[in-house]
Amino acid sequence: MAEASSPASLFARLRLHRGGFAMEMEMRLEQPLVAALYGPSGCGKSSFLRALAGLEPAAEGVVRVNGRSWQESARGIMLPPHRREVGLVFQESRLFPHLDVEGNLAFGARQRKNGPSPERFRETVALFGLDKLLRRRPDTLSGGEKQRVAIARALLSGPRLLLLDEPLSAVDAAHKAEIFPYLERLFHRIRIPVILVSHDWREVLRLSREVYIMEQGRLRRHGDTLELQYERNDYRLNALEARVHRWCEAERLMELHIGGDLIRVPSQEPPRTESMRLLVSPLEVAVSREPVTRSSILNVLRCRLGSVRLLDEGRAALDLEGDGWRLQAVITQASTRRLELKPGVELYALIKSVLVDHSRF
Amino acid sequence: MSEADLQSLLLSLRLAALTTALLLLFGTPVAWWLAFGRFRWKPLVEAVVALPLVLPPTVLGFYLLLAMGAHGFLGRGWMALTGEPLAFTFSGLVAASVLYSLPFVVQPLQASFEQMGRPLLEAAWSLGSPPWKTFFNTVLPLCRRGFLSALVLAFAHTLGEFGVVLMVGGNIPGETRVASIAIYDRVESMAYGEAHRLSLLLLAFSFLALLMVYSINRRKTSRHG
Repeated sequence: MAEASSPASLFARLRLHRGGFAMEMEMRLEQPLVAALYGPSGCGKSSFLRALAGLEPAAEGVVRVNGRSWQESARGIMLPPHRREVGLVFQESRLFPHLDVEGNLAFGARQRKNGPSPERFRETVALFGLDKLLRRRPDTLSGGEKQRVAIARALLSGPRLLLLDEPLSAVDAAHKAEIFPYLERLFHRIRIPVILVSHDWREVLRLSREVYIMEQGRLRRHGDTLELQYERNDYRLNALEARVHRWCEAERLMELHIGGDLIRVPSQEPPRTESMRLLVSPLEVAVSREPVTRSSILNVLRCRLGSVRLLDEGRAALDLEGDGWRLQAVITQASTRRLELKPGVELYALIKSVLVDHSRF
Repeated sequence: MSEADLQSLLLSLRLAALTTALLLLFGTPVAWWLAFGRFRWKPLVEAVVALPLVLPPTVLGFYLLLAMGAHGFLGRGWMALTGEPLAFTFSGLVAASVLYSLPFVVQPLQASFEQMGRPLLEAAWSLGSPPWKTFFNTVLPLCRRGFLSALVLAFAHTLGEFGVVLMVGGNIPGETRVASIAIYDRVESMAYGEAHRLSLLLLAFSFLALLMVYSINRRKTSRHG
């Protein structure tokens, strides 16, 4: 079977009927392995996740991880939760109150025959910055710390599938910013399928390449996160995929590749990941027919005008197509007339500010 | 203290210990089922479990006596199984005490299980802990106070029972004459001194047991509140 040859993969097709609620969902993860599951509260995201973990006995269908069947209702296969090798992180951390942080981390590790090596344990503790918290009790931790422990605990149980059920929704904004880099680093290095459930689109934009959008228990859209963001035309947010080129300490600037261009972003500290999502407000993007040389704007990128759409209040949205990147800009209709902006013209995009830290958006 | 009184006291302790052990063994699954099971006639089971709380012990004792007699279903079953009668024996007392003290074990355990809830169990399962193991590594430490309350209450309540014992056990020295019956005997024969000694012992023990339960519950609320 195809899944058997590719080591890490997930295939799931699940149905769940309960009272007036119906969930029917299909998902296949291979490359990329990390996907977001996005939708409003009550759309069935969590039920799907719980069904994958075996916590919804009434759910029927197929769950195959790395080619191995965890569930095949037609053939009577239904592994209980403890035999599914799943790392499940809940909204409310669910740390064991009678154990300290180390005890919580060791709980899952102890259940497996081949638990993590001491090095792996130390490495995970370091990855989530938990060194100083090991002796603490869960009720003395902040929301952000609790979630870091919960994610590390799930990883240390040696899962073949990682499920994150709104891991940031119970964490306040300040601590969210603190967890993001941990998740970004994790998602870059992880080699197992990961599903991140979220109802916050910015979270999805920042953390996932692929997104499944659910509505009323069903899949509505599925695709590349940036493509879907572009199609949303919400004129509030642009997302760019960027690879870190270098960090210039003297200037406190980070240089990043977006497509074939280079973009510079202020950064107080060296980057913690190799690549990241940049968020740019369409209101912070201006255009010029000629290259702008002597100005305070750091980023001037050559591009072509794709299309112009008129918005209300005398504004217009421009679709800008660069060398391997796309941006939307919102300017006044007066400017579109003055600059004679028509699809196909050569332009320079002037990007005033770029946000790396989404929580301040 | 006379040897007869000492004998009755030891018999009481033996009865209470055995009853408590059996109750923890059988009461735990019942409490679990009531806390987490989803079935229509749950209120019915809860009402039956709570009956000994409100029923006159003589009523319970009377029906138990009928069931345990040579023609009752319990008595016949026990006879077939062991070749011994159930009524007016120590085994019969244990069986009656288990029923009589059932709510004192099931109710604190059920409350304790409900307070713990499913979330932490789900976390334990998803971390690879099978349900039987989860009982020991998660349920027992989290519901420690519930188990302790159940244990103390079952023991103390069994020690203090009188009506049911009198109905199904009678007053056979060394077999069914427990401390509470012995006190009654002493009072009947105007031996107030002996009655005092036994009574004071039971009073002190019951008080200490309740003090312990309330201290346990107090620590529980102050910690979570």
